[in-house]
Amino acid sequence: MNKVVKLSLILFLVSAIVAGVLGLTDYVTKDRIAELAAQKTAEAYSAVMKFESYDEVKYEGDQSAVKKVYKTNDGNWIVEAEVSGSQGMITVAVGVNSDLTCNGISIISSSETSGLGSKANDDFFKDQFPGLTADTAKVTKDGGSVEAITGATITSKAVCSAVRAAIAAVGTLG
Amino acid sequence: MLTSILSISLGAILINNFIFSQFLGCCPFLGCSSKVDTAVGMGLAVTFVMGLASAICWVVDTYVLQALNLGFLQTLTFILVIAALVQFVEMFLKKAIPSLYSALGIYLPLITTNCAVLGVVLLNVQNNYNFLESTVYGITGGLGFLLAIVLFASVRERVEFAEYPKSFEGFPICLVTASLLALAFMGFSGMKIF
Amino acid sequence: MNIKKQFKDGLITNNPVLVQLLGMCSTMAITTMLFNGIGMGVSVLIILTCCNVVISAMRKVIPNDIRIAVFVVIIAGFVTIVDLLLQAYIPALSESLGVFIPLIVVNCIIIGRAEAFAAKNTIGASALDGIFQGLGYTIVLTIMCIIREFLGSGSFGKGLINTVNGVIGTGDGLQIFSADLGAKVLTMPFGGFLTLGCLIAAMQFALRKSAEKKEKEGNK
Repeated sequence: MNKVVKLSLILFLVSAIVAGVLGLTDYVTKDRIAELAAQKTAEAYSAVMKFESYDEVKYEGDQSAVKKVYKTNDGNWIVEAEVSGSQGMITVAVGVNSDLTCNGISIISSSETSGLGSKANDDFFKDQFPGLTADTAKVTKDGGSVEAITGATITSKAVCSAVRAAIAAVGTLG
Repeated sequence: MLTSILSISLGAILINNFIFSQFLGCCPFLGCSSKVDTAVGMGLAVTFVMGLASAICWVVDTYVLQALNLGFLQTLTFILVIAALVQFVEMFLKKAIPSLYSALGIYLPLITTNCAVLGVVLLNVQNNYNFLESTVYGITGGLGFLLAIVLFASVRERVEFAEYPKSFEGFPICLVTASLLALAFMGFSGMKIF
Repeated sequence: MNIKKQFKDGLITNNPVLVQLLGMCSTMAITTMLFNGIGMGVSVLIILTCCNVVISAMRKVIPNDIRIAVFVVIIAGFVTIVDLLLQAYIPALSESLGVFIPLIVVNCIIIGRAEAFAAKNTIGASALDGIFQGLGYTIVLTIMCIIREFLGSGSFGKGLINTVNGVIGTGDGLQIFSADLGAKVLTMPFGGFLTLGCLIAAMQFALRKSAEKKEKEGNK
C-alpha cells in the first residue's frame, strides 16, 4: 500500500508542476490569442457589410447552421453561420441586406484541405456572392449562379448553404 | 435533432472516415490488420473506448475544465482520462468477461496511444458537440474505424499472394493498398442527409 | 555514442518515419504544402528535444512502474505549450495544422524515443538524439510536401514564398504550372498514403542496394 501512495504522490507532483507551467504559458499567451480571434472576426464582419455599429439579435429559429445574428445601425444584418464542409466545420460571416440579398461573405475559419477547400477565401469565389438571393445562392450544378471552386464542389456547396441559411434566418427576423 | 445525429453518424462512418479522410489511428490500422480476426477485435475495442472516452471527456471538459476556465489543460486531462479509462476497461474485462479479455488482451494497452481516440475527443470540443452528439460521434467514428480496418485486413490477406516489386515488401505495399481504399472512400464525399 | 553515428541514424539508417515507421498519421495528413510540413517538423523537433532532455534528466528519479504515465504528462505539457505559443504568434500555422498539433501527444515518435533512448542515456546524448530524430522527421515531411504540392497543385513553397507584408503563411508560393493541370487527387488522402508508400519503398530499395554492395565488398 505504501508503494501505491508513493507512486501516486510522484505522479501527482509531476502533473502539478506541468499544470503550473501550463498555467503560466496560458497567462502569457491568453490575451494575444483572444485579441487575434477578435481581430479576425472584426475583419470578417467589416468585409461583408458596411456599418458603424451593430447589436447582437437573439435568433431561435430552425436554421441550425446560424450561430450569431447582428443588426447594424443601418438596418442590415451580419450572420455568422457554421456548416460542415468536406472535412470539418466551416464558419462563414454573411452580410445580408435588409432586402434579403447577400452583401458579401468571408470565411472566419475552416479545416478544409489546404490549397483546395481553403480557396473559398479567394476573391474570385467570394466576389460571386454580392447580390445573390436565397434562390440563386447555389452552385451552377444545382441551378444557382455560383461557379464552384474546381475540385472543391462540396466546400462550395457548403458555403452556399450557409448563405441560404443566413438569408432565411434574417427573413424570419426582419 | 434526429437529422443531426444521422448526419454525424453517416459522416463519421463513411464521408469523413477517421482513417481514410482524417488520418487518425493509422498506426494500429497498419499494425493490427494482417488478419481479419485481429482486425475485428481491434476495431471493436477501439469503438468501445472511443464511445466511452467521448462521453467521459465531454463531462470532464464541460463541468470541470470550462467551468473553472482551465481550457489550456485539455490535452493533458484528456490523455490522462483516456489512459485511465483503458486501464479500467482492461481490469473490468479481465474480471467480468475473461473470454473477450483474452481475445482483445494485447490490443487494449495500445489504444491509449491511438490518435483516433484523442482525436475524436478533441474534435468533439472543436465542433462544439453536445453530450449526445459527442457520444454518437465517438461510437460511429469507432465503427468507421472498424469498417476501414476490416476491409483493409481482408484486402491484405489477398495481397500476400500477389506479385509486386521487392522494394515494396512489407509496409509500402500496405500503404499503396490503403491509398486505393482511400480513393474508393472519396466516392462518399458530398453525400448528405437533409 | 558518437555524434556522427547519431546524425546518420536519425537522418537515414534509423529514420523515424521511413525506417522505424513511427508517426505515420501526421506524416500523411498534413503534408499538403511546404509551410505545413516545415511547421509541423520544427514543432515536433522542439517538443522531442525538450522532452528528451527533461526525461533524461529525471530518468533516475522516475519509478519504473509509472514511467509511461510520467512521460505522457511531460509530453502533453510541452505539446500544450507549443500549441498555445503557435496560436498566439503563428496563428496561420496553428489554423492550418488544426487538431494535429495537440495530437503530437500521441505521436509515437516522441514516446518511442523517450522510452527507447532518453530513459537510458545522458542528457547531452538525449538532446542530440531529439535534434537528429526531429530533423529526420522534418526532412521526410518536407520531401512529402514538395512532391504532393508540386504534382498536386503545381506550386512550390505555398505559405512561405511571396508572403503578404512578410506575414508567414500568407504567401501564394511559386506557381510552376497551372493548378488546373495538377493531379489534385495527390493533395487528398489518397495521395498521402501513396506518396508515403513510394517513399518507404524507395528507402528500402536504397538500403537493400547498399547492404548488397557491402556484402560484395566483404566477399572480395
